[in-house]
Amino acid sequence: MSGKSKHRNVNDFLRYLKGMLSSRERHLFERDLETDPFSREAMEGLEKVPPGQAEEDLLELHSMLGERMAGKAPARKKVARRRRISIYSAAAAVAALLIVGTVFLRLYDFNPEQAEETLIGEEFPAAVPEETDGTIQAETVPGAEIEPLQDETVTGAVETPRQEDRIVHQEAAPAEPAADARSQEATAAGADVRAPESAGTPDPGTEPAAPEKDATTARRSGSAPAAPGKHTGMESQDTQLQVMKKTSNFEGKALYDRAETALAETASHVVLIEEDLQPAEIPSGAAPATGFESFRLYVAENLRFPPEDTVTQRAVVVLEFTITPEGAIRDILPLRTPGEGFTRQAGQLLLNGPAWNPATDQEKKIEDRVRLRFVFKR
Amino acid sequence: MLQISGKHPEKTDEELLGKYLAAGDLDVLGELYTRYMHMVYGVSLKYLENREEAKDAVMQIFEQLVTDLPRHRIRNFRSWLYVLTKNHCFMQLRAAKRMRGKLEAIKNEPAFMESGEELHPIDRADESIEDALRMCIGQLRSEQKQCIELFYDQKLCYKEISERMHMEEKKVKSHLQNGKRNLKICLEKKNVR
Repeated sequence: MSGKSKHRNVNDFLRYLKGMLSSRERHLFERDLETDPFSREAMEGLEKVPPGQAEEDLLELHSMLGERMAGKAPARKKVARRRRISIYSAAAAVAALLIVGTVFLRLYDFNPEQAEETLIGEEFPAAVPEETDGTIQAETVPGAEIEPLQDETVTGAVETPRQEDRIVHQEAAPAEPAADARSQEATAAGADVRAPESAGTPDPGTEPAAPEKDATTARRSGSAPAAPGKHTGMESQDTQLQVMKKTSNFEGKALYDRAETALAETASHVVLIEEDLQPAEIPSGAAPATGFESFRLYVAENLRFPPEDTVTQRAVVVLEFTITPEGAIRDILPLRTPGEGFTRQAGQLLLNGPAWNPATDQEKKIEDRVRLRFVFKR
Repeated sequence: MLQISGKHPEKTDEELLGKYLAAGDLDVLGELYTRYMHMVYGVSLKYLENREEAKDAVMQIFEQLVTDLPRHRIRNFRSWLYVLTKNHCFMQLRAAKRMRGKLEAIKNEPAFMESGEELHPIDRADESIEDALRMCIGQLRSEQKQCIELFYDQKLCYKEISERMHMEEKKVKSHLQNGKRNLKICLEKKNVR
């Protein structure tokens, strides 16, 4: 029962945390932990955060120590100063925007109600992107903050336009064919917004995602072909729920509208504007049997941090999964996660949650892929 | 992984410390501190439970080294740094009135166990106490006994033990710690130290 203790370096710790050691190596490492309280307590602390975050922090610390050794000001103070500068810069930008807006309103005697139509027509083409593969985005929300999806794998992601809770209707520029749209996607890598490639529209990669306030986001990808057309946008008040749907199997049109009954019941602020829509032709995506609003409440009430994590203040997990024609949840794939514990919590919540209704296409039940975002917040 | 090799990887902590104290070269102190910075961060994270505060603590402790090292006669830098780190966390918690029983946790952890005398008997290479050790292990509660045997005899890691015993790793560690404490008590009763 003897063990030879040796001092482990940072990479030993990181390999252990990341599960890169064999069982034998883990055992030897743990023997060292048993004999050395400094190492043991350090490991207990490092295990409180996902390994990626621990490594990130250690890298930052090495960098700061390097600066300190180079004779610069104490690094953490510098970081704090940088943070303050960032905050001041943001505050200055907001103030500048307010001033410009006020001047604009005064100069043109701006009347929001009269100008609504104009604004909608001019500003939203850039914010409401073209779709090429039929995507539904539903956002739900429990008063918590939500970030736009940033994973580059999201295809055909639609950013819901927003402006002062107004309903928006916009004739969009013709969409590009699917292949072109994919190249657009590549251009917009890292961004969650894709804008139509019409003249005068901003670069999609530079278009900021609209701020979100929720805790979960659902995103569904269909398989409809790309098609030119028009779309409708919609707004959600107080971020209750937003559902955006595109039915791109229309002849010569790409069309956004609210989802059918189950979804629409929860999307009280979504307004359908397209008049030529034939309900029977609208493919409906998979959705919780109890509706997204109920699902949102379920997530808000039951989402828990992994028990081993007592430090992280906020984390986001994006899961993609299949809803089979029978309504079963299959092939859960974490697209974004800070660690295994968070994936497990979100996955279990999904599996233990309300049943799902399968997607339908012309009344036929079909398989569907859904993406959900879970936001952990303390 | 991190690149952490310094200019003097062959030098011991105490040699580097002596070099720093002789010349006041901050690079040397930085090299010494880098060897343990991840552990200082880990311990800070354990007690402060906040990444930013833990990072602040790491840098503040480095600054404290700069001022304190010349004023102390330090025999074992690593152990001294451990105590310094825990004291720093204690002060931070007290300042923020966030003790919540953590003071006891800090106090209960032994300062260090570097020398053979301070190691738990089960962690020492001492065959002369093998019989007494076996006897005491036999008197442990079932779960503690199983964890001790799986870890020390069968050389399984925490994860494997947790899977075999269908319990969380935290429980495994807890049974190991409690088992070792009871073993020590048992051995002391037999005058085995």
